[in-house]
Amino acid sequence: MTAFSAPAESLTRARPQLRDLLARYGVWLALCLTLAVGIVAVPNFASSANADAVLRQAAVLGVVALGQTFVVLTGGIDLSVGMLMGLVTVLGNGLMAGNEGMIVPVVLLALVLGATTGLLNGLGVVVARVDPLIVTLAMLSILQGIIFIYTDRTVGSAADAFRQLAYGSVGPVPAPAILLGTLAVASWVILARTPLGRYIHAVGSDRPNARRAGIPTGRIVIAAYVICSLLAAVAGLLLAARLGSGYTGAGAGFELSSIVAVVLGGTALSGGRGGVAGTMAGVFLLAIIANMLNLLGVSPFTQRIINGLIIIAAVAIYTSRRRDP
Amino acid sequence: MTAPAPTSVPAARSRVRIGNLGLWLGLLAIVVFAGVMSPGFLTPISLFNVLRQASVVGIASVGVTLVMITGGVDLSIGAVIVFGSVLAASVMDGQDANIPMACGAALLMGLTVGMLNGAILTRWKVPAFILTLGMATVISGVTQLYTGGTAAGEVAPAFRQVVNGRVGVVPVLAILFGVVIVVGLVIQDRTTLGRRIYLVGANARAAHLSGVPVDQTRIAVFALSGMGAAIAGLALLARSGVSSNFAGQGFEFDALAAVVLGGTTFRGGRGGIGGTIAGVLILATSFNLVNILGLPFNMELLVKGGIIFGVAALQVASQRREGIT
Amino acid sequence: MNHRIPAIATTLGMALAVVAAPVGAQSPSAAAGGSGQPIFVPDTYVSPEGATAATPVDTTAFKQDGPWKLCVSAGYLTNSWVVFALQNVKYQASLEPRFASDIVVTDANFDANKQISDITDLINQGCTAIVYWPIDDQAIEPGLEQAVTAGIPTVNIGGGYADLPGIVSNAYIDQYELGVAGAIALAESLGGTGKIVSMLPIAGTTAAVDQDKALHDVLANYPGIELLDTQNGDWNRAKAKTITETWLQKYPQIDGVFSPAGQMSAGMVEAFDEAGRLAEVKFSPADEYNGWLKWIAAHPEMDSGLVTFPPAAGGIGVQQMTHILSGDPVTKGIHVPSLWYAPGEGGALVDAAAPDDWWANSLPPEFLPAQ
Repeated sequence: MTAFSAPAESLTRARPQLRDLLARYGVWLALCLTLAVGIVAVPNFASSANADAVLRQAAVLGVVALGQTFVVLTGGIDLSVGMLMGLVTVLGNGLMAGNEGMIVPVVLLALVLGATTGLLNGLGVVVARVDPLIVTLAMLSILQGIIFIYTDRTVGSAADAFRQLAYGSVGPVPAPAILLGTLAVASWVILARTPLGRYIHAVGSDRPNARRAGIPTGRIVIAAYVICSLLAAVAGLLLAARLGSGYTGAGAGFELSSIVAVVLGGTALSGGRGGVAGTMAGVFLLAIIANMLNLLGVSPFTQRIINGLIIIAAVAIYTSRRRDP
Repeated sequence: MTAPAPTSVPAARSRVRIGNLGLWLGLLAIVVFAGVMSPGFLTPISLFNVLRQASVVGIASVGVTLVMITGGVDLSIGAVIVFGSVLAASVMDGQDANIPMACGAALLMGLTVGMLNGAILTRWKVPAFILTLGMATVISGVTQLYTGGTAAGEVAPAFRQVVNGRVGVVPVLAILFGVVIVVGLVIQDRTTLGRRIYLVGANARAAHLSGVPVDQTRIAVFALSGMGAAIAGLALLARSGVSSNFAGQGFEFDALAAVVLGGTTFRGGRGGIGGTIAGVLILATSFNLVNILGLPFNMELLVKGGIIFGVAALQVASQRREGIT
Repeated sequence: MNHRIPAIATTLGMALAVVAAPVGAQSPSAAAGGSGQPIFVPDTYVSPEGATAATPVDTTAFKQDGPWKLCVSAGYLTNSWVVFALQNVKYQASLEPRFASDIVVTDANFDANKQISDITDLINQGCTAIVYWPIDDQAIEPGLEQAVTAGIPTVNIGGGYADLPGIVSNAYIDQYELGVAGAIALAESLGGTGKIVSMLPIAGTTAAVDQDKALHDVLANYPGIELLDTQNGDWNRAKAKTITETWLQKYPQIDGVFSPAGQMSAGMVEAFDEAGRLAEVKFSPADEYNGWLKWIAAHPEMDSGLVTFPPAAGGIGVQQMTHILSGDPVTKGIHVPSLWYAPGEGGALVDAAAPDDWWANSLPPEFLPAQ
């Protein structure tokens, strides 16, 4: 799986330590630099109101990017996460219709939808052996079809209590940040401290080898897709709370932005290498850049150019120095 | 039966890679089904219409295939298609005399973007997925800055008349599509570059050790892909008669789906333009089929998802029977 | 260029008429100096839009002295209509000295979640007023509500109407009324019988929902007309053309086309032309998209009139914002009327020197989109 990875041969191998450091911590360096620039040079950036806003802005992408990390670590990719979030938003708010009693059923439904979608994606990849991009692209289309079978327009509304998931606070900390933090820690524990996490890394690094070592590679890959879709479903719930209504176009675009965040965070698209800590840094890097450009009042057209250049530059700075395995 | 019989393409004689048999059978099945549902479908004029509709994405897919055989991917083509058509329209400015310059400008832009992609990829080892995604964002920003938001310029009448016209019953765009396919097949199967593309994709390190100029090969395929996208932009301009900042969004994924459906995987080293053409035609015919059946938007999405997955699964199954896996 | 004078006069006349009488849904337009007339919609058709438009809004909380920092939250910027709406915003703001000359614009690029983020960023950087066009009214309302809570008035200039707590006022164009007017004109031109197809914008948008309802409501009164199919062309000329090509191969006879958006009509008419079936079909009136204006100017026999969709809504929204910031009484909605140009009259709006992707307008040259 070299499609997404950097070209394999880096023929000069001087200063490996610096390279390793940059490869591992490049995104954190970029994040710190961006923060420093923001605090020094961007008016209104270093305020508690803005910090609150950025945490809320980053949370939805953060949750779905956590899930995407699991799949990318196996060497796969999931393009269906955005539409799954959309389906959860539309069905969730549509069924809730402002009624607090429906919150629990909606959350359960979202998790069932997530588990089912992830299972189908995983089976398509493992059993039918179809390329993950094709499986999840097809799933994207099907999920969008289900959205438009349910409704052709914005429906429903989130119960007030449910909106607190996006707009509430616990003390000074925004509720969505707490949700994201909890899920990030849980994801980190799974990946770094459990056999499942080790197997996911192993499957992504070298699948034939992992199979020879007795790892049930098929089940591991399916598990990664299920976890990814479950987290996307939670991100969909958060999005439902944030939008407050069942908008049929909700979620579109998160499939790509989540992949960008994962790769910015240092997880290789070829699988095996990386983790959720980097992904979190990638998510906040993207959120802070978007926030800063808005605060500076940079014209939308210029914002696009800067955004694209930053993504390329950030990845270039540390991948060029990454030592190939 | 007036439908073209794609399986009769003489594969063995020339060793031209026409792609997987299951794929062409899938296409044949969709064509026959469409013909049964609407007898008007199996007329030369309507079949050529499908070719014409497919031409924009099809032309771009040829270059993308070459990139993907080397193990890369090019997501910048959608933005290049749009910028190419906007740039050409604004250079043309409604004057026939400006047509050569306009086409030249678009091709030069495509070539530049492609070389830039290749150069950054080889110099800084940025994963192609992220690099070209970032490049797409940059180019769409540049396009908007260049036009001020509304698509600039005007198509020269002669350009429109010729490129959007027909020779007998055959649309010029279909001929252009055919020419690009032939050029692509010649590069792929009859040139040193073609052999190198497969070697680089199969194993870049081995290719390097056996004297293949890996970096130049990579830059060359991105340059070809950029130019292909620029030609597709010109085709889009001729077909729609107006440049638009919006019209090309999503083409990169249509092309990607067609290429992967055609059997060129992200692993690189295998597949080819022949399969891609089948993929392009399957997607275009499916779109037609959906309209012939008069399906509502939601069913259209379900069918699209089903066809993408179904054809891919069929292909995998038949590959397995052939023992290729 | 002399062709543009009537357009300027008409649009200015319309704008003046609206300013003079900022009342509710059925605001009559004087249409001074031009041939555009208010569209006629029989009373039997009740628009779902603007039902509460006449409701007075208490603006005292928003009253403040200048200079005002005007900010624009764009749901998207890849459509020439919104670009012209934005230029109308900038032009109208330049006429009011209390607006600071620097106008901040954010672009959410069709991402509702991002538009909420954009609005919080605009709040945090000290905007005094936010005009916006939404990706979806309800989906971005929580962001707007935060602005209003922070004392920042919001005015919707996207053409739709929404009565939600986060929206102080709307400068709205009635998609239902223009749909009804277009559908009736089409039905009458067909003499009440025939087979038609319907081309709508992006599925789920207010425009698609309202226009679809309008067509069905009108067809209920014309039992002789059969609706063959409805598809979404997404305001995309190339996509509308592709869809039309398959319609042409599927249906041996298409007598009429319902397509209120000139962008899509322009693509559809090409498909009919290339199939040699132009003579059999009548088009509904479409809007003042320059590519369509050029077509009807060159094919007078195809001119079925115009029902405008004025980007001047942007400027009228800024006028409404000026009233709000001044503490003057306003209503929840100000109707930006669509104008009707009878066949043969709409062609006068065309700007032959401008690109297709352009809108008939009354902007001074320095406020036209940079080309």
